[in-house]
Amino acid sequence: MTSPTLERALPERLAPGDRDRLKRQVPAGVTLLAFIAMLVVCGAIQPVIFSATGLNLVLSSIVPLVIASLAQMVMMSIGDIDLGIGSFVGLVTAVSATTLSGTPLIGVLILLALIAGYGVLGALVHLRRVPALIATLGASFVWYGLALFVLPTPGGTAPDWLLAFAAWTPSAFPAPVLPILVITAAIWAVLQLTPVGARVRALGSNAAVLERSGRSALRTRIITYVIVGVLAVLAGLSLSSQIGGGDPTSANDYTLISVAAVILGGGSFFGGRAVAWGSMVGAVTLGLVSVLLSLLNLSSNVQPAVEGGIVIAALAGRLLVGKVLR
Amino acid sequence: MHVRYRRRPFAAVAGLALAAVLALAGCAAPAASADAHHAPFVALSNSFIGNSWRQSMVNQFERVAKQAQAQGVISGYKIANAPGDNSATNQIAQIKTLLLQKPDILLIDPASPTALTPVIQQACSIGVTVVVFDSASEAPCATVVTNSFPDWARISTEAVIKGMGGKGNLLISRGVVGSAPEAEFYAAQKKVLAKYPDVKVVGTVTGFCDSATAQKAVLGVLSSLPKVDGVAGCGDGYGIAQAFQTAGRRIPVLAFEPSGRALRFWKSHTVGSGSIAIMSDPGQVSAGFYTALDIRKGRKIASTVIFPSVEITEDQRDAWLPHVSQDAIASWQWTQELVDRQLTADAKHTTAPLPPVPGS
Repeated sequence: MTSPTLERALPERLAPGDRDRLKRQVPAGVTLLAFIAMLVVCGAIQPVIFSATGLNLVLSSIVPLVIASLAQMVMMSIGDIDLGIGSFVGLVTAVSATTLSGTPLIGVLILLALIAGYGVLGALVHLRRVPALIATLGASFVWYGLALFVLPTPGGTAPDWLLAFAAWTPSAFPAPVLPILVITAAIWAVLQLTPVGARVRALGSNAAVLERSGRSALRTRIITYVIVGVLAVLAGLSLSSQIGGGDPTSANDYTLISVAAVILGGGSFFGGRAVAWGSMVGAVTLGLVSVLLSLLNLSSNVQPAVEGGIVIAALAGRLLVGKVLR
Repeated sequence: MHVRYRRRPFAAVAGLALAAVLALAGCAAPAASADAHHAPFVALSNSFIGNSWRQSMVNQFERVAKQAQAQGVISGYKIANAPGDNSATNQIAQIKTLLLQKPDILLIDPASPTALTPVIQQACSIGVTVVVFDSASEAPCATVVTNSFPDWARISTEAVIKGMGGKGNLLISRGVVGSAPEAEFYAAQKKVLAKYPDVKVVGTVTGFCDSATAQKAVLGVLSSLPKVDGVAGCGDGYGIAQAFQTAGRRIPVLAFEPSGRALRFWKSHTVGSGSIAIMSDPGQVSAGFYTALDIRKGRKIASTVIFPSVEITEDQRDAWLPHVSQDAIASWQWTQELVDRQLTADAKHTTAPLPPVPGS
């Protein structure tokens, strides 16, 4: 996975210049414009959207997707892709609906063990040189199997504190904005301001330089996978609060939608791009597409096709801008 | 509105002027009636559109909603099919968007009996009348309008066994083994079988209540089976009939699905006499629609009401044919009157007569 980046990699990539920064941020800016345009259209059709209640309704179901997309963004920033994230989020909802609400302590331990599992997966990818694509696809079946073991049929009850959080609707501001912004800001801070974040970004853009500077690429990859695991657990808990329980298959479509959100948000399949706010905007935009289509009163039969068309158009626009800047 | 304006003279004057203009324009009438007993706005949230049952269901809803809107019973309607493959998360997002449009009645064909509970509770809390159909629901505030799997199993298995003359070799095609509805279905079948000691079960296949799957499953075991006099399945008779045809065997007594395709096959081929076509009713949606109107009128209704499955006997088949297009599933044509009769029967634990065959 690292060979394409090696050819393009230059040492100064580690300390990006202005032009490089522009290259990273502008595609996400295009998505931001698309997002604003969609929000304006939605608001024009249904002005209630611009109230706290309206935004609450529209955004609350998007929160888990945003967090899952941030996890995918971290994964893709080192050039790996996580095809197991959907199943993993489903597994977390299953744990949340059973052990976490029954015996919270054991539930927390299980979640920590799952995060550690992500670390092991990272080590496996690095040491055995298994493509991340294959390793995470394999892991997705493990996650799904574990989820069915914990919760054979959808159901259970999420812990009270999660349900209380989902039901929290302050009138002053839309509640879902809080987790979205806080988690995005936290990931931005970790990646951009801390030494760990610098190493993660270095692994994605130029692994050789990272090794030459005396840092362990293996440890960096494990740390990256653990960050992904933590975010995926948060996504699962947030989803569990939405569905009030657990469902092993509830998040299957997150796998590919999160990849699309990262690409929309200025990410790249080859790593080296980590734009937290871009992925956030990408995920919210993808979530808004179905809201927009539902408000437009389109015939239900063409709706999925139009939804796909909008996603392709947004991705094409974002890739076009990327090309022009190059 | 006027009460609030009275506190502020300027706004009151402006408001009155506006009201006068609107009255002149002829728009005031609906606005005034909106306060008391306004005609409700009805939304349908459907989790999946990819099979003919759901297509027929949506068509049934459109038929009754259009009619009710023309009569002024409802102010409007909206259909929302969640994108994707029966995903609860997509449907939750869809329902939340629907809630923005403040429907008075929300009909839900859910992706999951559990995952929608929080969003259903949220809808109820803002005053929406929620009716869930075609599934159970764990949401305490929702009214569930559904068909009974045990009834379906009992009626179809009994019809097949009667067609066999109460004796002979029976093949069973089971549905989605491991699912809760299938467990109920199979238990009811076993109860019927216990009444007929002369019926011998010669085999069991898993057909997933799907014609194509059942066809393959039956074809796989058919050569190892003795003469089969009847097959008890769940909405997969068309595929099973084709399996017997392919194997060059006489088509036994079957329980068909009431699809246009299956009914036409049944008519044009020699099929074991006494066969039946039976399945859960796509018209449940219109039953749910009229039930919801009743709830809004203040009628007390149990949290779960059972409506009959669609059931077509051999002598009714030709009367149904013109009303079921090739790709549709036959549906009962519910009216407010028929629904009220069914609800009354349900409340008294009696059985209402089945709705009439369309066009009769």
